[in-house]
Amino acid sequence: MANVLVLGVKVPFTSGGQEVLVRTLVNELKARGHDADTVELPFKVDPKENLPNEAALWRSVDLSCFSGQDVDLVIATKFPSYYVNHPCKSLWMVHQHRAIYDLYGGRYSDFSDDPRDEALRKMLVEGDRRVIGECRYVSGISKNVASRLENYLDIAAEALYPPLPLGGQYRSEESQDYILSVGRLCSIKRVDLMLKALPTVHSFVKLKIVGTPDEPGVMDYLNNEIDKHHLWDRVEFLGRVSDADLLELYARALAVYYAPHNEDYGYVTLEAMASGKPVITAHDSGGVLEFIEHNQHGVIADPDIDSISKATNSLIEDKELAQRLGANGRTFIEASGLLEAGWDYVIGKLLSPLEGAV
Amino acid sequence: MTQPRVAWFSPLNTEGASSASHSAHVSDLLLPLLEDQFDIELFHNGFDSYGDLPTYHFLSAFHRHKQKPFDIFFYQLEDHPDSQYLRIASTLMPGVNWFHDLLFSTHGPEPILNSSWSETCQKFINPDREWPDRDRKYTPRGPVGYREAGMCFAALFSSERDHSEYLRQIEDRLISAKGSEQPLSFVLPFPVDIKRCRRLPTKSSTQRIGYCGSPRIEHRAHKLLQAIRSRVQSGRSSHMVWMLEQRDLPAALELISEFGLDGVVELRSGLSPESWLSLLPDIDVAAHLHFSAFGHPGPYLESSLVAGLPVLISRFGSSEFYPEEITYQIEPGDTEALQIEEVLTQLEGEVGGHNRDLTRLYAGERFDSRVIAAELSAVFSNLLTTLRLATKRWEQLEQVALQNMLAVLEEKRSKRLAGLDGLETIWSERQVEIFSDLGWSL
Repeated sequence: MANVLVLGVKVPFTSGGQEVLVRTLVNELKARGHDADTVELPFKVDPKENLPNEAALWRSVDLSCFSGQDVDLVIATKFPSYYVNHPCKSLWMVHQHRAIYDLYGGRYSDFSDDPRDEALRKMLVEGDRRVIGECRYVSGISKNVASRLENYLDIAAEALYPPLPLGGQYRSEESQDYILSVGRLCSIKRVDLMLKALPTVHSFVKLKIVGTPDEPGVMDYLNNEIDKHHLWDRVEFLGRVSDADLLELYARALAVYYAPHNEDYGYVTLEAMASGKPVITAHDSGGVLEFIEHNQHGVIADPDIDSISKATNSLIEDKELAQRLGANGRTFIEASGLLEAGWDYVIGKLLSPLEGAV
Repeated sequence: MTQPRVAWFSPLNTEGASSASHSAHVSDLLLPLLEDQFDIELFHNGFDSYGDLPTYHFLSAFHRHKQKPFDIFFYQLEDHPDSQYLRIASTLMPGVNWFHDLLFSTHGPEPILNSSWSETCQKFINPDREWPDRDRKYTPRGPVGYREAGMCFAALFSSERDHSEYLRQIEDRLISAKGSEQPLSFVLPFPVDIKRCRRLPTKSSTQRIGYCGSPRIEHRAHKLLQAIRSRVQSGRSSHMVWMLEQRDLPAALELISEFGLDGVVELRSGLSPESWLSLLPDIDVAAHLHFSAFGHPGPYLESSLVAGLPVLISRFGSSEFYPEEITYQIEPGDTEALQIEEVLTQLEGEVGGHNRDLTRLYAGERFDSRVIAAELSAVFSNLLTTLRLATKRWEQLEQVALQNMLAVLEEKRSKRLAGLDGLETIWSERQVEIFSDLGWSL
């Protein structure tokens, strides 16, 4: 059995898929007899000039041994945790600093054409190339993430899908009249598209939003849209909810809306499928589309209000369609190994650098 | 002798895809003619390969430059969605810009909306100037690509009109101080594959008019349809082939129906320079009307001229620079449709008074892709020393930018550790060690 540290990057006051992934991985390692723990450092994304310091912080940390116990393996997950210096490093990439890669040049990146920003971008890209190159096993949480490593850094990576955090607990129940949205409230998740589509969605259907804001001004913006369209009775912000409440919300949703821009992976997609609910998504939603086929497991719309509205109404008006798509999703998940059994495979891969050594 | 290395940035027709992007078409024509003289690597906004040439995502260019330095960075810019990324890429490592459009109908990608490019130009010319403050607000100055045209070492233009506008309006430039030296700028027309344009024309008893504008008002489709309707009503047989982009089909159908020309106008979607070439032998007249400050008839007009076809153009903007001897210039306005009708009538019959040979000669001398490739090659070769020096100076500016950025880090760190002398020293030494380990200079 091995002594393993899982490296998480914590943005205080926010919570998302990465935190769930790190926590679940540690629990699953322990369940298999390994001595596992989490190392988390706080991360500030602003100002961008500080990013090299954030990376250097991880680089400066000595994780070789604690209380006489050697650390056999570290598993890094997200920028800048993979900057850590350890002789046996695995990478299960959630995502890099996307503003200098796939989001560069668009509205979700704060890197401009200023030579200072370009100097910073080059520095971080070369730094990533060097430290990821140190990893003995390189993987991404989806094909989307793995292909970014190959396409931008020429580093071969395997897609290693995380099994669902709540394992076999997902269930399906009779739908109630609401669309569920789950995830961090920030612009890239595009919750505003569904919110703005609501006025042209059948008025008896509500929108329930699970998640907390992690971008300045986002709640003001969303509340402004609610006021503008008089949606006070139709939109409910639930913040963070317990696992039990989340399972219930999934179980009774009419459909789940998840249409972020070029998503890394999207637990939400799989949780919806495991709950037997159709997914409303967009054709540029990245990792979501590795699981959702149009009219098989959900509906894939254009990333605009009209198209999202039409897609939503199609599921409201045709209950049989919604049920069929949801059932297909459940069947897919059961066959995929992404419920509980998948962890044996994932852990086997992440610990592969230790083969023969421990 | 080693060949000069060229980093060629352009949208590309990868894996058999045919794009309406003019730059992609130009790349298809010129790359085979230049690859023996230059060591070319391609950079686009994707990950597919293109033929046998090394092809990379444009964000990898700096890494390739580090591994094996380029002598020339070459960019094709146009007002097309596939080219948007070049409005940023071309200013990250300035080089030679070939403008197929100088006016842009969008403000551009978000990161350039607050670009401090003008101050960057000044800093390049005078390194002692201060860096601009961060987070200042800048406003775009209108549709002219001031930024893109200013932030290059040499500028080429497909259109005489755009070149005139550049000389007249672009004052902030990298390569010369305002108003002093002559900027390095040239006109370089769209290339045309002569062999593809010179296939024997097919014959028809009905006058066949080819048109590839959009249904939008500036492309004058409504005037052309009005003229054709008048001809049909007076008993003259006409057939129009309208080649256009898929997204324009509904509006075109509506327009055709409005003029009652169903059966007279044949619509073909999938407009691209390639598809237009395939149409040329089957038309007798080409209409390239364009009444707008934005855009121009693009490589389609050049192709029609190389084929020797009589072409109708609008006496406006970039089209004004074509000679009257081989083009039929239509004055936009009240009598526009009548003028078009008169020209179409004049052109009926076997020869119709149009000098096909003269048209081919004029167009062949100017637009032959071999001629254009030779001119581009000459631009690269003649400017090689200038461009190498300019690139070196730019790299020095980048070093200064890096030091400025790191100084900001240093300042923030010092503030945080102020008064904790021992800690400050320990972290300072450790930071130098870590940065060095990562290949980052401090």
